[in-house]
Amino acid sequence: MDFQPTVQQDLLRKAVRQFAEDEIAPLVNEMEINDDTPLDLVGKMGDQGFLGVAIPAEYGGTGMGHLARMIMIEEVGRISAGIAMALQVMQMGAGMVVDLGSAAQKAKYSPLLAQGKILVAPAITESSGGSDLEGLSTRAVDEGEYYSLTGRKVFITNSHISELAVIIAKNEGGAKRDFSAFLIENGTEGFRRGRMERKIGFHGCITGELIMENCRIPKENLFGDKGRGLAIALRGINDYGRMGMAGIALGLMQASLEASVKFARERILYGKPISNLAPIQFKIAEIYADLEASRFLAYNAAWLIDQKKKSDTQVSSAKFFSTEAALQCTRKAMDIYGAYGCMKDYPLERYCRDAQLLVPADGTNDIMRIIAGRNLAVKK
Amino acid sequence: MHVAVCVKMVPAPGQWSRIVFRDDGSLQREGIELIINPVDRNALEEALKIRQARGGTVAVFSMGPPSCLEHLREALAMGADRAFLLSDRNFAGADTLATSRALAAGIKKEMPGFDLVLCGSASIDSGTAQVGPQLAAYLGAAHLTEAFSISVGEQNCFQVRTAGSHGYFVTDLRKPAVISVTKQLNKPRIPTLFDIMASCNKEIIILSSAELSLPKSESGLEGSPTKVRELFFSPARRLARILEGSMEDRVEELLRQPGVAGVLK
Repeated sequence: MDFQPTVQQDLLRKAVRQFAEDEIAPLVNEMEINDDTPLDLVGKMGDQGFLGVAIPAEYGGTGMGHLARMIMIEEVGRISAGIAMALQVMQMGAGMVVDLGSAAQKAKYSPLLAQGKILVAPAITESSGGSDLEGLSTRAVDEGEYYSLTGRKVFITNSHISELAVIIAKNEGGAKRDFSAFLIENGTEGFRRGRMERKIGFHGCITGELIMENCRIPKENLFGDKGRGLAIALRGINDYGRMGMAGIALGLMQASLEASVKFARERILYGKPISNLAPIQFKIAEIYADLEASRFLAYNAAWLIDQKKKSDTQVSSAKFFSTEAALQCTRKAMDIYGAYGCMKDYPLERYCRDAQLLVPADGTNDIMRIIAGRNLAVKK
Repeated sequence: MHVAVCVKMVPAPGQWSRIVFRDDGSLQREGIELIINPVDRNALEEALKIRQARGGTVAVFSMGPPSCLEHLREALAMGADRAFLLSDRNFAGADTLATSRALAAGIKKEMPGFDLVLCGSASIDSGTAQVGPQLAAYLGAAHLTEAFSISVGEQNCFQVRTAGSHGYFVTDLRKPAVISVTKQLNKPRIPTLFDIMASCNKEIIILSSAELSLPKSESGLEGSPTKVRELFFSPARRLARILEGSMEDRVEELLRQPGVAGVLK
């Protein structure tokens, strides 16, 4: 078994780390206050090729793959979970167009998406939730020359900065699982942005509503085959969304580990650094073990996606394990800091708030356990 | 315009506490994460800018063990066309003079028609700032140190600005030239993902002492006149002193103190 990253993956990690430290870190405090996504930064990430990391070269990306994407999200998440979240959803939208769009849609949008010139927001969740996909109430009516969509999507990442959306809607009059996906361009009649949410974390990543009221969608904007909406949604969520959550969890744990070691070496108690105290060493060892275990789970799942092998058990396991590990590790790091950890001057409380958001996103962790457990236990 | 850039791999600052000195005064580098000497990246960035404006090629030269190859790949990802690693057991333990001699031999062999050689003003590990001037002597080229601005003028003359104690100097250098640069020169680029992919198709050539026709007596420890007598960490202490007396006395003493301590001249 070869655990050695490739030359490209090594160079990518270095380049992304440097970019995150030079370009993202100086914006974190401002994003914590105004909770806005800096569009200049999005442009720079596009120029660096970040949005096309998993997009093949023929569509304007680099084709470095999902494992490389995981490393990228981890490095961005080490500095800002909010920007990592925004970035991973931008990649998800672009990836869905390339993986699942028609030839005409790929030709029209892919190069622009890969370079970050336009953004696409996958929009699946509704007020009824995102896990019960069959309960979605957005309706698509086939009007002959066009589709008419009506409904309201909530908790949509990058809702207010994207030029395109992929909307999952139930086909009017169809069977229980008869859903389709549609591409909607911003500015389409009957399509508008709703409220922006105020979250406890992921500041710098916009989350909001997308509203369709008798929104007329041209027939060529059907995304994938008619009736394949649920499959399209699940493919995007599995390959990109859940993997993105695991990547952000790795970044938060890495940041927690580095912060804990630095503080423990500098904080003097009883005349010695607290790094000499066994209880502090225990916590640091546990953070490290959780990080490494999560990393191997997540990297293996990303590698399976790159190999085009079945991966839902591994992806689900990586998602719930790593995000819960991130919750525990950020809390332990905060404990090591003592009262300092509760101060806004230090990033520890931000890590904790961001880690909590990983749990419900892209399928709650209970749903992740159901997927993995059902795959492993139920006789087929 | 053909530009050679010399880069050195140095221990990452976060790893300095793990550095061990051998009995001969050289560094034990095994197991220590290395990086490209930060100011050498500024040298490479300037070379890439000159190529962008004037055309030509950029080649990177370094000396070190095979583990330096991955860092040369990083230089290629930044945009260099070719990279050469001078790597041979005979080079081990080289001081600045033996290093300069080997680098000069490498540049003469692989880029004989060079117009310009750029290097960082000093490395963050040993900080001698000697390789640039010695390299210029071996190459028979004009030389300036501490450059914070370089522009290519008429007839391929380089107009260089270097720092002085109360201002700066502007000097015209005829090619070929060797210029040591400072961090103020530019902001090194971060390789894009496209650059990273492209770098994997570029070649890194390893050069031995035999290929550079350098006998063992002129290479490495044997070819190094510098003998390290002792290595030690210079103690650094904070100096805290509370001034007493009237406000006037204290201000007068405060103004006098920096001069006494050698902080201000």
